[in-house]
Amino acid sequence: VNDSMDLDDELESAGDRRLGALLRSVHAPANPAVWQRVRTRLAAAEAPARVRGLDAVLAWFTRPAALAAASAALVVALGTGWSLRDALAPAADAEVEFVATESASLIESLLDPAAATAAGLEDGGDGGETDGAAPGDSGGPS
Amino acid sequence: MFGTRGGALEPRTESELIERLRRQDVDALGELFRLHGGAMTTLARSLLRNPDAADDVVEVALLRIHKAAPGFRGTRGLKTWTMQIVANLCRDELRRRRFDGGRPEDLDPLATRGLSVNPVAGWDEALDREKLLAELERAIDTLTDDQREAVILRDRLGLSYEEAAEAAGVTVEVFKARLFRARQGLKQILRAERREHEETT
Repeated sequence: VNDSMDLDDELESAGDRRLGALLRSVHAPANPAVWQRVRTRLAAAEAPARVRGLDAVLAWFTRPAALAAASAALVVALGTGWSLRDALAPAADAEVEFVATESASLIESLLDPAAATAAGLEDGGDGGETDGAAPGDSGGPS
Repeated sequence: MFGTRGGALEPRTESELIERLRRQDVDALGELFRLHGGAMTTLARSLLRNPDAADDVVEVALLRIHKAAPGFRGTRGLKTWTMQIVANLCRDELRRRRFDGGRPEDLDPLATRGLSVNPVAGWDEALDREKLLAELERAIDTLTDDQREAVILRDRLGLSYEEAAEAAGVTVEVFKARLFRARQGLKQILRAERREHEETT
């Protein structure tokens, strides 16, 4: 093998020369697009880190998925807010109305003895006039 | 611009180019691609048999050269270093996927692999060159990865034994043994072709 390899060093035989010529006849040209891609990647890598960071944030927020997610979150938040507003508003109104009705009933009862009796604010249990003493007052010397 | 001597740079201009590459000068990388881009592409396409994958390898090789250039001592030639990086990346790529040797019915394996033919002086016009080259390309497919790499580095790209062995990452003796076996196989194919041609004429 070594002897053959020594002869092979210079492709001595006609067959070797032919083989060498055939093999050398095949080549591929350099692709200019490869160099363009390399330049682009190197330029991107050499940009300042701060700009790259800002670009990355902007790029992240302008991604279609991020935009869709943000829009969906906004719609959900608005919808929830609207629903809560509708749900809470009637309850508050009803409470105000109840307080107002109760207050009106108390005033009317104080002004109107019949209504006060009906409301149990006056002692009408024995059917007579009271002497001004409070119910339960024995009237005896204190 | 750089002076060249038979496809290789003059030593002074090569050292200047290396110095600029060490400073990570992008224009120097462009000069390297202009000088050796054809050989890089030929090596990658011959080994990978896929022009797109080969161009990707050349792109990654250039980026790797740019990154590693500050540490390049220049004891090896620039072309040898470049070819070694391309060969290493091709080996990695071949390990990642099964080698696609093409289809036997593929009538033009050179074109599908992004390779083209230079006219050769003194060519035997009686032979069907295209058919012979296609047969030779298919014969190269039958070699082992190591043998194929040896044939491409030495016979297709014309590197010296020392340069080719360094690019392949083996000793010169190991490289010669691989090349010898590869050539034996290819010559058998050529002899068979010649016999077939003589019988038909």
